[in-house]
Amino acid sequence: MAEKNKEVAKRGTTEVSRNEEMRERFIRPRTTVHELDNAVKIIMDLPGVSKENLEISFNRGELTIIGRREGWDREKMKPVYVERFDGGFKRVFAIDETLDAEKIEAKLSNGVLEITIPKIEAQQPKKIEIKTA
Amino acid sequence: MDLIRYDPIDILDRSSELFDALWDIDRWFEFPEIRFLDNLGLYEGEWSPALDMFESDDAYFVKVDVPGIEAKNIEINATPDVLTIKGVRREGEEEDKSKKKGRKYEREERFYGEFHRTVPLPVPIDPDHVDAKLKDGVLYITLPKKEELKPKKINVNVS
Repeated sequence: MAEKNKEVAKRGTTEVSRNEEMRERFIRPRTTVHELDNAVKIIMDLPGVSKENLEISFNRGELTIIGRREGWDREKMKPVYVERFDGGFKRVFAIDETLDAEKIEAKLSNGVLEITIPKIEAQQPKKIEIKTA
Repeated sequence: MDLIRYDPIDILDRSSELFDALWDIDRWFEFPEIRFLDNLGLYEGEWSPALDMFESDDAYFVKVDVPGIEAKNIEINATPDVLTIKGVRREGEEEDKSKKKGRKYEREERFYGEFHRTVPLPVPIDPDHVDAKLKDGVLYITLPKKEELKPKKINVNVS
């Protein structure tokens, strides 16, 4: 452990190690959340993340999305411009009891993840018929 | 400097703090990392997709994050010196239009609208052999360097 600590302490002291740290840092993918009459949708930009590198789980009211994308082969290529983040990410959303966690659906297409969480029936708006006397 | 135990959760906490600080200009000084924004070229379109360019001896390789954008909405132009990428991301493009009605936003972080990036190329490329493909919301562009500019191996003859 002592060895490991030393390495961590060393990081962040030079420009090179700072870049290294930037590359390893977790990112926060841009996300839209909106509410429909019968469901809540979470739409997340995940360009370059394949289905195999994505994990979605629900536990104790928390929906967790973890994934990663592959970086460049830095052995074979040299960077010219670097703006994208490679590596891992994680986002957690609190899901309250008005939503039906049993029926969460997720779809990944063209780098966009779309999660649909239906509302529990009793919470959905009901149209009330007006009777005329 | 204190020794800090490596803790992935701590890194997570820090990064979400950093991203929160992005929205609050008064806090930028707390995070020297935010200086990377200087290089983003954010002001060319309504938004600007993140772009990487790497090079090998033979070619430049470009990756652009364009999640949710169809190939027909992206236009790429190359001259020997400049690569131009234009496109548009429409709101709700990836959704069924009929479901759009009656929704309310809780949170919106994603960008929409037109983007336009101009990338100067440090050495000339061959525009006739540029290759582009779109996969998982990432645009991959390969730009071969001009033949005569590739580094040549020179043999030293021993007399």
